[in-house]
Amino acid sequence: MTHRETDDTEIDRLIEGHLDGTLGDTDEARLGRLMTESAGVAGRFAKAVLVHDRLVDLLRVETAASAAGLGGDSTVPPPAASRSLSLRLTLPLGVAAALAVGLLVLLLRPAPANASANASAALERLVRASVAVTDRHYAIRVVDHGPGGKSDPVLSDSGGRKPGVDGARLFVRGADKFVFVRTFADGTALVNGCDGTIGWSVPPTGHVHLSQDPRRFRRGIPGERDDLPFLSFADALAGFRKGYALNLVDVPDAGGRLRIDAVRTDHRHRGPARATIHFHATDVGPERIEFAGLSEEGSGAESVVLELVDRAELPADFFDHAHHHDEARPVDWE
Amino acid sequence: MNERLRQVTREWTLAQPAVAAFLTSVVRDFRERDDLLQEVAVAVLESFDRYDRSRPFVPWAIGIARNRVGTWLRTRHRARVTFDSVAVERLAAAFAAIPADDYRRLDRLGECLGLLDGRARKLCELRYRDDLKPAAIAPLVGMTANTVAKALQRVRDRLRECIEREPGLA
Repeated sequence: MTHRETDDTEIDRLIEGHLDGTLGDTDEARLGRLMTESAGVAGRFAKAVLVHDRLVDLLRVETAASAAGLGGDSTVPPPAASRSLSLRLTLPLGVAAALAVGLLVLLLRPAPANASANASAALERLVRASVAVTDRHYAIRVVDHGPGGKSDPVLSDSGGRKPGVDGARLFVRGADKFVFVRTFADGTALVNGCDGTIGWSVPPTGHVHLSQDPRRFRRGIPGERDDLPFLSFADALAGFRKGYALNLVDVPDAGGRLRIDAVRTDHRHRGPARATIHFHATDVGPERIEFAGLSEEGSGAESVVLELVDRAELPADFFDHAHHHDEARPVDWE
Repeated sequence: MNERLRQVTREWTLAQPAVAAFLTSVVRDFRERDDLLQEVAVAVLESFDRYDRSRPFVPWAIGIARNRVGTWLRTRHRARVTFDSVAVERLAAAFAAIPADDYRRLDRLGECLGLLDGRARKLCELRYRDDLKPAAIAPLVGMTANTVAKALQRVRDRLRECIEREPGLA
């Protein structure tokens, strides 16, 4: 039967059934065929989807606001232009604003009913938000050096010892670009990074090292051997999906700030024993991450805190090695 | 925020409902829709310099979304995919052709939602907030799956009629 022989009631039945996922394969195929044959059917379908799609967002906004303790109430309808309102909240952040529009949808995803499921949903939002092409700058602080205590500072780039992570700076863009700066006691810096394709290491002097392996210069950095490589927040946060009990906590008097507490439940997992992730309900990434009980074979640090310094847009070439050394430096491929 | 970002933000804000609805029509799974929407937002930002400003933005953005959907369809061999590439093309054209006023009317939907009676509202919440299909909703409201599906259709009809009315008469 072609669209000419199919009346509007039947077309509406197919469209509505498709929207609710109740059509069988035969009817689904028929709807697809009708749309290929008729722009009118496709137009009718598109108009039906508009309301369907907006209902998803309207009702999920309420749920997310309620889950985040932002005053949402499932019995009260949301403001007519809640999507626009949400945009106004997000745009002044100064991050890549166009992306925030898309990310907002993710941040306002519905959270399931219980605290653990809410935490999982919030974690998923953070994982996805961390993939965004926004620049973030974190300061790293070791809060517990472990049973061996604080190591002696590494005075300079000699003898093969690398500086510790205490006081290091981490710059990230999206899921695959980072610059990690550690400082020797003499004030010079070891800068490791990845431009998304090439891993690189720029010591204070001598040869610059490049590798086609983006992970090549991540070794020795806390988290790398803990299955939670926090140079990529998306990967690190995703690591909490398995082997951890998660709990979403609404931080009182913190202006919409939330916290995910993660406690390792699977001891075959090499990740930290505990982690706490602080973030804002309308934000696009974690503001503070605390890792406690890191494995001994990692950086040596027992507990590490990463704190967001700012989200200022970095130069376009900031994640290229060339940005961090002068042109005369010899470059070696590994 | 620089001027380029300001411009792409302004254009994307207006286009996003159309792009989101287009993706929902093809993908259906709301989470996958969100993932794709994010990918499209990134692609729009990255490609904005190539956008011809003499042409309307929404069709251009939907074109990017259509390409992403094409890739998604190719990588989802095991997923239940309803529409072939020709149908997706048709849909992209249909969403691009919807007048801007129709999108603006959607802003009244929240108000209209607030006018629903208890049971209609409950059905909407179960369907859209909790992402349940009619068969899963049925035992929660003491109805058959078929009755739930018909009730949802009526609710959406009422909402469509409501947003078509003059502002203030919702």
